[in-house]
Amino acid sequence: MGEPTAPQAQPVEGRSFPTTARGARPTFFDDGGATDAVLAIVTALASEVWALRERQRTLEAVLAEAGIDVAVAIEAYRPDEAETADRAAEAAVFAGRVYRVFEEMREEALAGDTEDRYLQIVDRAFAEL
Amino acid sequence: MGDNQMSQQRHPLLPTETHDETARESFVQALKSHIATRVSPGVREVYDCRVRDRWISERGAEPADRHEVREALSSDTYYRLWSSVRRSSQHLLWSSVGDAIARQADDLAERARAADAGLGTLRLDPDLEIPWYNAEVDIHAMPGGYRGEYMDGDVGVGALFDRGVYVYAMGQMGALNDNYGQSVCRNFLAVSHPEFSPRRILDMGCTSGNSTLPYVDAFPAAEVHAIDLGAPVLRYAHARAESLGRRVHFSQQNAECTDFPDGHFDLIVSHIVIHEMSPAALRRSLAECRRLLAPGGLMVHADFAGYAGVDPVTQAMIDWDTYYNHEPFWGPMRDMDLVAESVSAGFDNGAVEITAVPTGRVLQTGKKQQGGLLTLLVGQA
Repeated sequence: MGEPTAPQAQPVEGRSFPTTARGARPTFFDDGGATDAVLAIVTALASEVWALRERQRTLEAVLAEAGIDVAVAIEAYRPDEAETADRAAEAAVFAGRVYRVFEEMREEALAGDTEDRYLQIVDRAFAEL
Repeated sequence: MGDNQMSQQRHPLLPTETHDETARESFVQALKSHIATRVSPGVREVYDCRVRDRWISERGAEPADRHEVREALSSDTYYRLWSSVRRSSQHLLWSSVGDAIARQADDLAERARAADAGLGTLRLDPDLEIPWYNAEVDIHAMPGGYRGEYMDGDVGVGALFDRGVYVYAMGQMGALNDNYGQSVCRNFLAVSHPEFSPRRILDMGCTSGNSTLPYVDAFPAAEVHAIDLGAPVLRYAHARAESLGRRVHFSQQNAECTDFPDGHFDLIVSHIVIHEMSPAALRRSLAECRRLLAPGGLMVHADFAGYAGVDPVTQAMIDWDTYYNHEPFWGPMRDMDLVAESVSAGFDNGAVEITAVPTGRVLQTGKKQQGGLLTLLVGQA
C-alpha cells in the first residue's frame, strides 16, 4: 500500500488486448527460450489443425444435408448430442497423436531404456565386424 | 455456436463464438485433458524411475521437501517438455477465448451498458490503488488480469474470466460457473446452519459475480454486496447479474480495507480468491472480515486444501502452478495455518475451523461427478 500502482499489461500495436499476462512467461530449456517458443508454436499449430479438421467435418455434414450456402450453413450448424460426443472422442485421439512423444518417453523411462544403451548396441555391432 | 457442445448458460453478456472459435476452445479442452490424464502421470513415473535415484547418487539422500523435488525434476527433459507444453496450453486457453472477445469487444461493452435493469447498483472508484499482489502479476496468466482496461466501459477481462473459467473447468463449474457458490449455500450453510438467515451478505473478490448469485437465490430477503479490485470485471458482473434478474450491489474495493461500517454483515464469503492474495493481504482481509461481521455472523472462504499431510512429490506437482502458471500465492496459502491466522486476526479460539464439503460438480454431460471437495475456512464472530 502507498506505492503507485504498477501499469497493467499492454497490447502491441495492432491488437486491442494484450496477448500475454503481466509477469514473464517461464522457460524450461537452457537455450534462451528457443525450445519453449517452438513448443508454443507447435501447440498453436495443433490448435489450428484441429480447428481445420472440425470445420472440414462440419462442411461435410452440411454438404450432405443440403449443399447450398456453405459458409452461412456452417455457422448455423448445431451438432447434435451424438455428433458432439463423437467430436470429443476424436479430439482425444487427435491429442494423443500429436503428443505421442510423451508416451514414447514414458515407455523408455519405465523400461530404463537410454540413448547410451542404444549406442552400446551400435558399438557392439561394429565390434563384431 | 454449439449449445450442445458448450453448455454454458447463454446470458446477454456472455461472448459468442464462431464455428472455428468453438473448435479452438474444444481443442484446448482436449489438450488440457490429454495432458492431465496421459502426460502428467509420466512426471511421477520419471521421478520414480530416474530422477530420485540421480538426486540420491549426487546428494546422498532423498529430496527433503517439495522444493528439492522440483529442483531434482527441473533438469529432466520429460519434466521440461511437460512443463512447456502445459504452459503453452494455458496461453492457448486465454488466446482461444480472448480472440473471440476481442472480435466483439465493442458490442460487449454496449451490451453491458444496455443491461442495467435498475435492480442492483454499481459503484466504481477510479482512484482505488490496486495492491501489488494484483498489479504486479496477471493471475493464472490471464492477459490483463482482473483490472486491464482497454476501451471506454471495457468489460473484456470480465468476459474473458466468465468464458475462460468455463472452458478451463470443462463445464464442471456448472452452466453459470456457480458451482462453488452453490456448494457453500447447499452443501454447507443449508446443512450445518439450517436456521441461518443473514440480513446482509458480502462476497469478497467476486470477479464476474458467478459465485455471488447463488446467495441471492438462497437468501431472498438478504441484501447482497460484492466487491472486487478491477472495474472491468465489476462492470461485467453488474451487467450479468442485471440481465439474469438478480439484485446485487457491486463496488470497487480492496478487501483489506473496505468502506463498510463495523458489524455490517452477517455472512462474508469468498470463492477461490484467498489463494490469489499475498499472505499479508490475506491476514489483513481476515481482520477486515472480523471487523465487518455482526455478532454471530459467519465468514466462509472456499478454496483449496493446504499442504499439511501431503507427500513432497504431490506438493511439488501442485506447486508447479506457483512457479510456472502465474499463481505465486497458491503455494504460500497452502503453507499457512489459516485457523491460527484467523485467530490472530481477531476471531475467538475455537470459533474457527477448516472443513470440506462436496462440490457436487456437474460435468458437461450432465452426469454428476462424485468426490469433488471444496475446502472451507469457517469463522464465527
